[in-house]
Amino acid sequence: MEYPVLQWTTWGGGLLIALVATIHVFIAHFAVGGGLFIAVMETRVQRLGLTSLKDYLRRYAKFFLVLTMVVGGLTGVGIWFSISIVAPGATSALIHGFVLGWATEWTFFLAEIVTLLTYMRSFEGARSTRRLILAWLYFVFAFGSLAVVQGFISFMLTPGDWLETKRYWDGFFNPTYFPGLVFRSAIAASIAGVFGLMTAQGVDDERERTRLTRFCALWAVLPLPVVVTSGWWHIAVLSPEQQLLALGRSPEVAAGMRVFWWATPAVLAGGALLAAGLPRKAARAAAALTLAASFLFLGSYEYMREAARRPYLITGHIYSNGILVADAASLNQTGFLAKARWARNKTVTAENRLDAGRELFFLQCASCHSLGGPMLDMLPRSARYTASGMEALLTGLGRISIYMPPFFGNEAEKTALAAWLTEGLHKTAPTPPAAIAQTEEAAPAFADTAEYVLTAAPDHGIQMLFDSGRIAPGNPGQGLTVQLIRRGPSPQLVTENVTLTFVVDGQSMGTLAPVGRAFRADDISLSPYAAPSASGSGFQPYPVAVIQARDASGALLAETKAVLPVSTELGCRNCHGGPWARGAAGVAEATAADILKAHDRMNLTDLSGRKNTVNCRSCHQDADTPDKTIPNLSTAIHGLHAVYLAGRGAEACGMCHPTAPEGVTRAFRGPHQAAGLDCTNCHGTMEDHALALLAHEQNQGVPGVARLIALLTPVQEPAPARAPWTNEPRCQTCHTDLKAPENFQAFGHWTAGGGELFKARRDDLDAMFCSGCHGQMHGLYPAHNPYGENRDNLQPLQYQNAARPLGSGGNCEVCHTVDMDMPVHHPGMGLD
Amino acid sequence: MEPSALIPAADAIPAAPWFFRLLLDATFAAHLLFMNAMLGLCLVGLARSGRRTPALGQQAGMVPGLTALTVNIGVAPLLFVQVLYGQFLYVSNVLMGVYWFCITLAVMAAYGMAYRQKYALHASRATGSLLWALMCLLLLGVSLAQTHNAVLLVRPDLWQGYFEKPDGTLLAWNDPTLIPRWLHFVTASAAMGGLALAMIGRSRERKHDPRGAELTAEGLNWFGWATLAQIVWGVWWLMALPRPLLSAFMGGDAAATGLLLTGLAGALAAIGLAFKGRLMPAAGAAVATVAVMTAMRGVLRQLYLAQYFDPQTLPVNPEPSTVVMFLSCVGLSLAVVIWAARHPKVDQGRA
Repeated sequence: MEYPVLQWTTWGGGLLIALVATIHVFIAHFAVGGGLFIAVMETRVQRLGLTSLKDYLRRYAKFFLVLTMVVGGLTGVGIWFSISIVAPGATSALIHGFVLGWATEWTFFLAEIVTLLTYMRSFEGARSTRRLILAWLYFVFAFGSLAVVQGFISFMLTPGDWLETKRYWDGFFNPTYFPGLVFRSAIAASIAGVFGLMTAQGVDDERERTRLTRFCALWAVLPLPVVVTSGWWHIAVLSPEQQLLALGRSPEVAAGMRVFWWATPAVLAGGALLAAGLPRKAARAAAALTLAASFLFLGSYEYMREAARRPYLITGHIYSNGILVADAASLNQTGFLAKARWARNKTVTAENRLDAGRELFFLQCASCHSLGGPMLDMLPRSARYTASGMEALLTGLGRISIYMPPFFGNEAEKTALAAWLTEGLHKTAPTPPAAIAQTEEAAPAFADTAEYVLTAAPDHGIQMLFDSGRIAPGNPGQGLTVQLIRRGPSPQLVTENVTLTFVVDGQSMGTLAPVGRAFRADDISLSPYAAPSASGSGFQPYPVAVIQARDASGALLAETKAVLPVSTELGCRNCHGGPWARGAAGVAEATAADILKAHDRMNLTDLSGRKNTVNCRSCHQDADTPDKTIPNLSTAIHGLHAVYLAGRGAEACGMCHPTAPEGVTRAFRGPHQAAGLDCTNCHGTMEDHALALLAHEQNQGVPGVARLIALLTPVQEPAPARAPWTNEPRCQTCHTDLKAPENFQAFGHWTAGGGELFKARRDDLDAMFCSGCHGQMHGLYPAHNPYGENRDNLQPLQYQNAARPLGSGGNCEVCHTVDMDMPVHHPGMGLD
Repeated sequence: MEPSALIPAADAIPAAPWFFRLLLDATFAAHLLFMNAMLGLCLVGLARSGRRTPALGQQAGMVPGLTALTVNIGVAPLLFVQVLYGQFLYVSNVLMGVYWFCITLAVMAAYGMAYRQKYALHASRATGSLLWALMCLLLLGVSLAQTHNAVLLVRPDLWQGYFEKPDGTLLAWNDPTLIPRWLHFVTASAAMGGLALAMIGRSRERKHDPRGAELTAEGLNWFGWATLAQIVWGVWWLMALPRPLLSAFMGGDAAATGLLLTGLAGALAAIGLAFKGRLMPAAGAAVATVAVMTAMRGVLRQLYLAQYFDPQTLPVNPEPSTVVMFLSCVGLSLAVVIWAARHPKVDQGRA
């Protein structure tokens, strides 16, 4: 916000600090532990008369001097240099708040240097109290340095009361100060022993070498129990969120914990092996490996400590991208660029969109992410997203995965950043509207004298077909309800001595089973790929079923057509990557694999490695069962994705469902669309939709949903809890008494059970299914089908040559063959 | 864009600004003395390494320790300048981030070479020309980078260059004071290097080394001529200053003018004493001059920044206990340092 950001690509993402700090921290601990080692050895040499060790001690001290002062000292300064250019805001906070603490540490550093240099220059005498004092003084000041610096390092992780008081001592003696100090002291001692193991192998006298090796092995191994104990103490005082990250239970940082648990026994094993005695050559190799393990040991600890601090540089005060927590809240309203002192673009326009996005990347992301470099490279991380998907990711940033800061800025800035991360970085052009060629489907003939009318409607306005073999969501298949009506002044529903069949050309055929006063076919096998369209794309999400009714002799009584919508245009790839499997639809294997990977990452599952198809509902069951621990699939999917798709209204639905207005399916095609309504009028926004589902699962006692609920801000008044597929928006909410609508908000008024669903509901006579006369949900008559204006209207056109509900406008002759004056099926019907 | 719009907001400090200004100037002067001696010994060492000369190994032996102390004592002014001018320093650091970070690598490499040189010249009769040259090259690069940083810090009007060069490679080549400023500091190093050589000579004289006097004279010669050259670069630097700043040193500002005249007098005195062969008085005058010049440098910085910022306006959240802690630890550490430095270097115990 306040400072310029280095626009580094390969070297971005804090690589500089990582390199310098990793080396420095290791040597700095060696400088403390080694100081104690030298002091103890000096004491042994002088007080116990082990003069034979003097040469070894001198070599060790010389190596110690060069390493700690040349590399350790300069990398220490290097940290200051690098943090001031990579994180100037946080550096400023650390300096200004604690300058006299740092200055105190500097005085210790000065004393360390002088005592060490004079110690090295006083080696000529064999026995010297002064040299002994110098050795101990060096250690005291080195430990003093550690004790001071630990205050600041631990402050960044757990600032404690400082957040309120901004007082020095509140920040210094923070909750992790003492556990961290014990931990670091023990680890410093261990590292000194490991370095001793290395240098001991240079002693030519075998007995001396063996004795020294055993002594150093003890140094390396004995502090380890203290390390482990203080490590647990350290973790215990962290906040629950920090514990999650520090323990590696957040999958993003799990690698650090794995390394820690491998490296610790490796140091132990190395020390034990060397203490047991190895030939010189093998001992050298073992000592080198132990040194490498101790490097990883300390490195992984620092990694976990840094991980636990995410998404902050100073917990609760400044985010890892330098944005002050105090400023963050207002940035979504004011816009980020307007407040960023070093941004060239102050507002986002059509002309500067990508450049503003680039600036936003460097200002908000580049502190952790490189471009083509080793630090959290943004190139592969952004490659799988579409611009819309990236926008969704930015919306949910820092909410599900708490190790990243949220995106700060207004909607235009979010869109600009998403565009640059996708179009700008990967040169991907925005997806043009899908090309759809319209073809007319002829309605079957119908004579005024016809004896029968056949009505047919599918269960779902669109069946979402997941066509990757990796995952089987187990959504309900498409069903078909057909009714055969014998025409006459008093029409009759025929259910006996007739056979009803359906054929979807090239895909599916079958006989409908009588159920009550209708005929049903369930789980009809359908595919949008099976019927090549006139456009040649081979994608037809509205295949037509021909339904015939025959008597016992096989004579054709009636025939009609109905579309059985099915689409594989599932927008998973917007965020999960991969191409469309076929043309402009289809879930590719790569997409499915990424979904499983994301599931594994977030839920610590192992789905990615499974060879068999993953059946989602084997865990995410729809049924409400006692002691349920996993939410149903609809809740799980909507609950999680709502965090990312919040604030996007009806556009959010089209990100995943085949309803996008420029997509290849455009499933929302009935009169509601023509009236200017969208998905949210009935289903609510993504947030509200998800909250109602989550509330149901919360009522069932399903754990974990409360966290998702807390992340969502309702747009409307909270709706009653609902179970998916059962509690759906109720038509009568707007169509009071089944009349023309009086309002346009059905959200929150659910059907009480399966019998009230539109597909199952019948008229006041309990005879005709609503869908029989009105057509299918989302494609009600008159519908405008993108693949042919009247493709959804075949039955109204067949029976009344008008694309409107059967019998509407007083056209009762369709079944009754005569005019009627009473709207007996339901009020209205154009007869009022 | 107005330069002032790019200046970040300043953070609060825990004690009065004058306290930090005092600490800044005191520690920076000490840093300059050690740094000048370190670089100067390298420059003089390179010049002397063309032929086999006495005390080259002794010169080399001093460089690692001086480097350690230069780096260590440099930490303090770096700390205090951040407290007073952090919002300027961090920006200048970022703008030339590549070079700024390379300072650490270059000093580390030079430091490593210094140890190598020390042990190499101790063990053989080589003169180590290549290593001297490499060390000089690295440290001169460091000094040039530091000069660029010092100029960028006081020139917010140059900061807009970031928008054309946001990769940390912005430098201040266009500033007319850059070259004289750098030359002024580099020749100061040569002068201090000469003074250090003269000290070596003087210690040899005390040990009755017949070449001691020759070394002392050679060192003082270096010191005298380099200080004279420094005055030339200093005048160039002065004349290259923006007119209002030049006026401040020409009587417009009492502190600036007074410090300039005092510093000049100190330098002339040091030169005169050096050419008369009076080592310790010359050294005393040099140290005093560095202290005065350091204070003057602070005045110059504030004159540059006066239109944007005055450290007196910094918000202060007093933390007196930390002041006490710091001063106590300074006392403790200095006591140990003095104790360690005053005792004989080599034990006379049972060998």
